[in-house]
Amino acid sequence: MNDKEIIRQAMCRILDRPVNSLSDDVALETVGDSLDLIELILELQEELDVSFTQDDFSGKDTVGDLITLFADCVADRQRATESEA
Amino acid sequence: MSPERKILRLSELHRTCPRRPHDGAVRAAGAPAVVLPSIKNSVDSPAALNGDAPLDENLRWLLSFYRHSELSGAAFFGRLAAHLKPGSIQMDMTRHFADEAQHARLWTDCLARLGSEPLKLGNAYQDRYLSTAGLPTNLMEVLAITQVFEQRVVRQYARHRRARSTPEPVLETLDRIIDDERWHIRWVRDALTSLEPRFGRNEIEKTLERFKAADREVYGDALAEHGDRVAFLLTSKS
Repeated sequence: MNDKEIIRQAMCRILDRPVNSLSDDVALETVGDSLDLIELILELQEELDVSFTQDDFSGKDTVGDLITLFADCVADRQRATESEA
Repeated sequence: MSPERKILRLSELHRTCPRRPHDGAVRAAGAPAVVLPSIKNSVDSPAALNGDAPLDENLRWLLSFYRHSELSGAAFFGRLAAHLKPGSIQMDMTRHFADEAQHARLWTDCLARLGSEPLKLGNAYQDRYLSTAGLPTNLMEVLAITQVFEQRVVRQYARHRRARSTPEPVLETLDRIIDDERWHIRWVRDALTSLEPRFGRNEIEKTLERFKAADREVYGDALAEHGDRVAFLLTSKS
């Protein structure tokens, strides 16, 4: 399973939704209320040990956008770790 | 805030988003709804009992608005506190959650003492914050928006405290709550300071300024919409 699918499954778990119910084209504003989304974003950052600010979410409207944002950050960190090793 | 700044702006969320099961009555499919027994209010209602003049509708609306805002705050901090790692921020946010819930009770009791009941209101003031400022996306941003909001609350309550002809139960309630609100500002300020090594002082200051701009916009909009209801606050005692 690649990073994107792991993140998608984590999102489903945090939001208490069926596995794989969040396809890339689902609008974020339909996956829960504002508190659900705040919890989702905070939890994902905690689990993946990454950190974002509000600006990083500019233009991120869909589940796919969010997954890509997190997956890219994780990949960048892995590359940085590998280059240091 | 410029229109091109599009950050998870969810102004229509409450109208478009289907409610999840835990948002409303939680029960198994087909099971009857749980009906809670009515709870006798422990607060005397002298105005109601004595048949005094009914509470001014604008004051009733404003006290209901305060209550609704406190309830919304309690829901916000309760959910966030459940997800925080152990530590001082977890502890203080849990107390903050409890304070907000207590304040909602105090406003409910205050209305009862005035012989009235809370109005059922729609979206809370905080909903406007989130739709204008965008969702906070990390703990620092959660605390920053909280700091700006709490400062607004203290100013509003202090302004109400100075209004002419404020009934005694309202004054007593404001006095009890304002002390807590000042503590809210202190603990959040200290927590933000503790996060400076992680986020940087400049980033925190920038975030606070952004939320202050949103606060001015939301407050201005609220005054424009409800100015007639709160006009009585402009008549101060001195």
